[in-house]
Amino acid sequence: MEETHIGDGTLVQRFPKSAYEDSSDKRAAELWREDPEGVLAGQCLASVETDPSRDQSSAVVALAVEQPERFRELVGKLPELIQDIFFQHYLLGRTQTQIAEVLGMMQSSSGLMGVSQNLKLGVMGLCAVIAWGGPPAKAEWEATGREKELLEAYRRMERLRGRRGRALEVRSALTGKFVIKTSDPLLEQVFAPEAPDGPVGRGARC
Amino acid sequence: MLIEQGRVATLRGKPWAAIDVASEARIEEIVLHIARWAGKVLGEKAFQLLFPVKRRDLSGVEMLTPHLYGRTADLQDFLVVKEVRGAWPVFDEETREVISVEDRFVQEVMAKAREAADGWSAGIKRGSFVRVLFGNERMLCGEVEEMRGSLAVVVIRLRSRTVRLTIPSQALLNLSFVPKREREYFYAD
Repeated sequence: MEETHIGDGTLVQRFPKSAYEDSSDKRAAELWREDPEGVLAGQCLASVETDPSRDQSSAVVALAVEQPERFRELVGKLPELIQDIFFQHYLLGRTQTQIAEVLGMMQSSSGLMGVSQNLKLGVMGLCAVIAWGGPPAKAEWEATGREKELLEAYRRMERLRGRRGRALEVRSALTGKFVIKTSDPLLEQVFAPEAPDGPVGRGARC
Repeated sequence: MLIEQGRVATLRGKPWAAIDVASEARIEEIVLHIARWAGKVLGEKAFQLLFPVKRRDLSGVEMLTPHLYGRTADLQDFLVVKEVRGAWPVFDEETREVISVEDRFVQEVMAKAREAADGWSAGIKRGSFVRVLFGNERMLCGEVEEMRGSLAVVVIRLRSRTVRLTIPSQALLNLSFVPKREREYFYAD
């Protein structure tokens, strides 16, 4: 039994990971590295990593970093709004706030879900595209069992297809000057956000 | 980039403190915290901080030197900069005195940093493919539709909408070497 104290001093006892858990963790990591698409499609092993109800964004990161062309091809099959969220999040490392602003998702009147919800939906939709070898045909949307969850997400995601925001005019208040004052209200805009939450940001900061 | 406050003319010719940073990957965050720290802790005191950037792109910032350089009328002020996580001045551990760096050397670094800052936007004109380096649209790429003096109007074609951004050209990175077929707003080399 391993004993550790957490923040408030509480003693927490944990059983150490079994040899099986250790090896399955290792195997899952290897699979992500070798075949992120296979993991997303649920072809490799039945575990947390292939359960679509769990977060599979790490496999998407692996796909974006290691097979960017394939990532672009697959994401290109998703609705335009989801593509914009994926490209900005996974390729450019932009924060969810920045993404929401540029896509006009900050206003409740937009009728759009938040970036994180759309990311989750998009990951499920991407899993469906991979598992079906392309966008599932409408006739297949009524599948049952394990696939039902994927298809349900895909159907919800498809509602966003063809949705276009109106053209946006932005006038940046930045000066672009070499010298900047500490009192400048735009100081923060000159620097990267403190915690970019896209993989590029994470990758660059590891 | 030079960040300053107060009557900086009073600092002319004075030496600088070299500031170590724990992680180059967190450098922008650290610089921002030092700037905030200066505003809060130093009050009206004259303060300068040189953030010598060589290159900026998707992968982050590449520095010209391993250190940041800062100065006030009394370099011992920088002993307190340790309040900013990941930053500390170079100082003598025995005497606890901040080691000073000649102004002449830092002015040379500053000149190179200015040159680098002008360099990343050099040659931008109508039709150029560029990346936005600062602000809410940072890292998005687009095409310069029009130049209005020092301002560029950049059209960013997202899949679900178009953004027309007016921004100083110095806040842009010229990516005109990218072949036309690869020009997407999410271009990542």
